[in-house]
Amino acid sequence: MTAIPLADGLLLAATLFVIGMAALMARRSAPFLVIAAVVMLNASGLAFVVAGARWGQADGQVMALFVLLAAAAAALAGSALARRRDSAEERPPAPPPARGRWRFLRDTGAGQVWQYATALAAGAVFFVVLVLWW
Amino acid sequence: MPTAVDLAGLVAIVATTLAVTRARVAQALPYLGISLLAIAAVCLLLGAAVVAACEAAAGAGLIALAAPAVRRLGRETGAGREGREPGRWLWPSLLALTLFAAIGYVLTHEGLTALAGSAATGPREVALVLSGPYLAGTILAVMLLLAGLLAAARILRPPGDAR
Repeated sequence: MTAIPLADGLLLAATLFVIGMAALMARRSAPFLVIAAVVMLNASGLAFVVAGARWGQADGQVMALFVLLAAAAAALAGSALARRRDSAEERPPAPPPARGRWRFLRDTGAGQVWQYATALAAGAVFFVVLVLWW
Repeated sequence: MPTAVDLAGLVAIVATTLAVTRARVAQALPYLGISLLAIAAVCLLLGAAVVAACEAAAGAGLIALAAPAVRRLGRETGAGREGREPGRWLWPSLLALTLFAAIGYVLTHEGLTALAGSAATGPREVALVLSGPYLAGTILAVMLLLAGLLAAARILRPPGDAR
């Protein structure tokens, strides 16, 4: 018995991907960009697993494993880049601290509210296009 | 049976959202680990045991990485004693318990084979395909992982180290 319909799994994968994409566009600090990329790669791997389970083939799992390995490599190199301590002359000047209620999203002060609105709107459009196309 | 998968998926969505909206990385890492574990649970319930094992290894590694970071964060902010206040781990623990309950229910009541049925693709099939038609891809993926490891070591090298 195949208890899990294809639709639910793909919906979960698309939701996770949109969360990661919105985070990738909205956040400013490097570690969170790495986290967002890892979330998006995991979501695409999950889509492969769901499709592989639907047709009972091992190829989906193989692709998911490849995606996972790529995500691990990207996370390794990305987190190393994010943790690197630059020397004082090549380090950019510290941005002013963010203020306001949503400052935790603003990290380094470079983000604006409209950027988050744009990110979420783009994510919603992507989601709708995905669902409609599918 | 769809309830367990739905619960795991819900945990994945909640944990990912929380991970992405935290202010500091040390706060986000436990949620990211829970998110990976939840995705692993979904894969396991879908019958993909190999991918679930890999995801769970990544999630466990992230949580192990997060524990000292969270403790250091608690010490830096001076909140509580050595960052041992329960609030920081409360929500990740609740999400993990939810996952555990979902998987435990499926394992004790139905069993994994009953859930995925004939659609389950075991490790044997995956291993055969990995070492057969996809052999070149496997080798390339492992070499990519090695390259990522070497790049991380090269980037994090201390400045005076001329090796």
